[in-house]
Amino acid sequence: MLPSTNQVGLGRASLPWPVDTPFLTSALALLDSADVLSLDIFDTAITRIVTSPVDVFAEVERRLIDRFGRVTMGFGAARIRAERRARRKAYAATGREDLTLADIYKELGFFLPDFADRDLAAECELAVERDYLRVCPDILALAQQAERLNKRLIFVSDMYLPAPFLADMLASFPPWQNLYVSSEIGASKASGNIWPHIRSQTQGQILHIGDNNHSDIAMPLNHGIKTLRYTRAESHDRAHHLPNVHTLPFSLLQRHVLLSSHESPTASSKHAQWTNFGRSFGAIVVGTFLQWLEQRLRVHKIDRIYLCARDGWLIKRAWDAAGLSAKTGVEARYLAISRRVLNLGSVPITSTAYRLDAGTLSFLSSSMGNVSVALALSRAGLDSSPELVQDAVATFGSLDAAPQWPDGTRLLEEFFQRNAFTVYKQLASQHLLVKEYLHQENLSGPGRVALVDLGWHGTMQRSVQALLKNASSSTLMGFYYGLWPQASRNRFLAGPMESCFANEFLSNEEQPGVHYSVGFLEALHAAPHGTVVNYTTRRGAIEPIFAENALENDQHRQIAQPFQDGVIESITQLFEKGQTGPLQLSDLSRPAAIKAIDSVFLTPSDAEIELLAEVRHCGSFDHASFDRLISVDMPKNQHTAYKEFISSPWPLGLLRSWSKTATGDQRALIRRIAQRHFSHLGDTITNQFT
Amino acid sequence: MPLPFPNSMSTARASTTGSRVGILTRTKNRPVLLARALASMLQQTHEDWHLYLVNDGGDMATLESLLESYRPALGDRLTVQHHPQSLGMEAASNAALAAAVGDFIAIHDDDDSWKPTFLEETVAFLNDARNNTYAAVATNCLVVLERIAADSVVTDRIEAWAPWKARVDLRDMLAQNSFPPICLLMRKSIVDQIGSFNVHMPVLGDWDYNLRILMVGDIGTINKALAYYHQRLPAQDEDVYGNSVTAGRDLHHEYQVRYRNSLIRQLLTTDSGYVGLLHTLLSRMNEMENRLVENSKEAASQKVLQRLDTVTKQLEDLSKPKSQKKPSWFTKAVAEFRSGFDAARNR
Repeated sequence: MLPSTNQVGLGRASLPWPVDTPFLTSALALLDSADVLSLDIFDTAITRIVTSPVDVFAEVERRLIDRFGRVTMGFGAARIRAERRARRKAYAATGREDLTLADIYKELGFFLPDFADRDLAAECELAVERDYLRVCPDILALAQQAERLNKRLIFVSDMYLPAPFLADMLASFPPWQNLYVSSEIGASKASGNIWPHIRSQTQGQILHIGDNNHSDIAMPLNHGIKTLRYTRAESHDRAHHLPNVHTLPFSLLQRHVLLSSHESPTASSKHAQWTNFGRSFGAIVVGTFLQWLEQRLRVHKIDRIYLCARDGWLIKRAWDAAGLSAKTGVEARYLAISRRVLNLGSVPITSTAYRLDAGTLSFLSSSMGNVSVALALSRAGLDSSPELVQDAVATFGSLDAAPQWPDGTRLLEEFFQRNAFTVYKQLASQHLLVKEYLHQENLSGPGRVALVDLGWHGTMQRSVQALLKNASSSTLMGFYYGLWPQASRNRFLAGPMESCFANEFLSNEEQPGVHYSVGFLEALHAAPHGTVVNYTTRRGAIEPIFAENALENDQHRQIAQPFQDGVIESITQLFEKGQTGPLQLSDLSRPAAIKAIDSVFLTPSDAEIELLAEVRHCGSFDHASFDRLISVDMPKNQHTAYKEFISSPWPLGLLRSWSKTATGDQRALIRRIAQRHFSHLGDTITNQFT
Repeated sequence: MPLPFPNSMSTARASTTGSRVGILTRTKNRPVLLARALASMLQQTHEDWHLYLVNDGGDMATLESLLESYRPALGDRLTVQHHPQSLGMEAASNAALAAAVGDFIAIHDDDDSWKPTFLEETVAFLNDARNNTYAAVATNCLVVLERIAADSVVTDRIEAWAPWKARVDLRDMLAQNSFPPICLLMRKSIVDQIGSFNVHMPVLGDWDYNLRILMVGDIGTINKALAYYHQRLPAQDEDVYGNSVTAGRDLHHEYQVRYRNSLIRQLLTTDSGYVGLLHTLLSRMNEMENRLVENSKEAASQKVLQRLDTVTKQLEDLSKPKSQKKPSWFTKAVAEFRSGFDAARNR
């Protein structure tokens, strides 16, 4: 009788692990014709409760810092580099394919010179492994069934950990005939050289089960061994990721969510994957922001907050789910505004009928290279003016022309400036409606009020300040996910602004993870309605008019909605019970959230790249185009590929996405581009392409 | 007799457990920039600081209106002093300094800014027991060239701080200031020992102060651009936003000379024998400089002559009859060039 579920302790939480019955059935069918059941150890028989196996070193670092202080900071990175160096040395000296834990720790001093107690660190690593390893119930059930069928059991692993330690970890399995560990034999599964050794000691037909397509499937098949792949506990390894103490919250939660998912990872639907991404990544990012926001609202004595459309939608849902209005006494409202209505609505304040200001010209002429003259007019509501249309045709030859930066953009700016009077007159009507809407929502009422949004330049806040100028008794400030250096430009006119994850006093290159994540965060936070294009009066109230966009609606239904539902599920648990899975509310911190963002956007797993490649986004305020943020297929032409790379919002993800299907020449080009453009980010990044 | 080395911090005390930083900021009618400076301080990861803000004769209502929205975040970390009339930059610094308490002192001009970890990293540096012979620490910085347009700050470009050196050498500092004030964190105990800023210096007060720090102890360095030194070229109607370097180059030059004269005068007054010593050193230096100039001229001449030789040879090769006869004007031109060249060489 196969068990249907098993409670597995996961760090500080228990984890329901529904047994994968279809897998067991197919494994038993194959086992029928075999005499020996051979099991891979890591991510098959047992698995770690962190996303990447190397994240174990983050916990070792945490424990060492507790004991030895700052001198052990950076242990995680040093431990990885020590292993890399030990492998190179062992291979160069003896041609050995694997090494021992002692070999690795001999090299640690090279990377952590001020820390001498390396034996104790090695012991600590074993203790953490012991705490972080769990038996996989599917495989345990299979092994128990095999015992009942009188099949012999062996374990095979490419591992530096000592065999007695592994034996201890496998204690709950039925008695086994042998345990083969590469570091003790000197031959590995990866090369296939371990199999002749095993065959010489094992009589009968072997069925090998493991997670790695190469080591556990292709190589044993080459040696005439039957195989079955088990992916349920497969680690979604982050290539060349360097863990530190801030790695743990996201790593533990993401692994917990994955392992407790009711479907096996490979079989899970995209919908489930987005929900899981929301439960883990989304919960850490949004939860940290809420916690930070709550603290900042208290410091600034804020009375009301306005969560700005459309990205404030998820934050508003999370705020409500966390019960923060009741907890803080701060009233929270969703504010239906957009860059379009604010920036164009403030034109009568920032410009005159005879001269448009530089900011307005730049906004009217903004383009991602694909805005036609017709679109530039229509998105601003200026296409109904015959004189403007006539001048546009005379200037650009056709309304279909798409002016390119820099000359085309300059020409467009000159065109709008030349027609300042008409533009000003048309936009004046929008000005009155947006102003009335802001008053209606009580932005101008007495008290301290705050805008809450993702960020990034403070232009919306500056526009709101301008629209409320001389007509408001409130003090306005803003709280954002991030601010970029350009926000400094608006700091005086916008009023105080604070940010949680990215800082205007650091360059974009110094906070690359958050910088790369912008388009994705915006898409995943978005509301289930289009951008605000204008307002209308209905039953005496000003109401927003939303743009209709079928593509955006589809994306929301398929991607944003399940992601957001996952976030809300975790946030509710965190703020109601103080815990979701292994993550406690007190584990949330800005460094941990930034590390989560960096993990996904600087060292993504293949699964994350595949998932994120589905996201589409529009960078310009017209929301007319809706393109994938990264493409899957690398253009054949080098120039086209390079051009796409340069303009990509997530160039690292793009190269990783291309790498999966790239040919030899394309791989060489990817390596060259990565070396040239990512060297400032260090070898963690560039090594992903070597 | 005490050994001449080491003597850095031999007359001062260096604590390695300090945390509180007193930030001195002087401002006058520059709210557009002060808003950024306040944000720069508020976003420091090291939060144990107190701002001593001196309004040196600027409009009090404008400043208070700006501060109103920042007061909740600043909390009790703000002390404001209003000077009804401007007393000058160094007098403003002294007013702030007189009020300041803490373990460290930083000067954050109203137009400059820090990266978020400036205080965290500089405080950690001075608290490291291995650095207790340093009186202060300076970081590298970036120079931001900007302008003010319609109450917005527009960045034109950002450059590296060219004069950066890994060590603060008193010899270099004697020649000119090595870093702007925004890069520096001083131990308060050293500031107490050195005393006030020099109110007689409308510009270059920071140079004078750095020299006085170096008289007590060395200045350590962190080669990370943790600070931004903002510079603006003054627009005709907006010179209130010019910074003291770009807006007053002549004044800087004048005070540089007068300051140097004062130092030398002070030295010569202690012992007139220094006149002879300096004369000897300076004439030797002049002699060396002249020789270097002559040598470089000679080297340059040699290069030109070598090049002429090559060109002449190439022209001669071309003029040699091969498959077809060269035109007579060509042969004549080469001959003339050769003759002129030989004459030049003989000269």
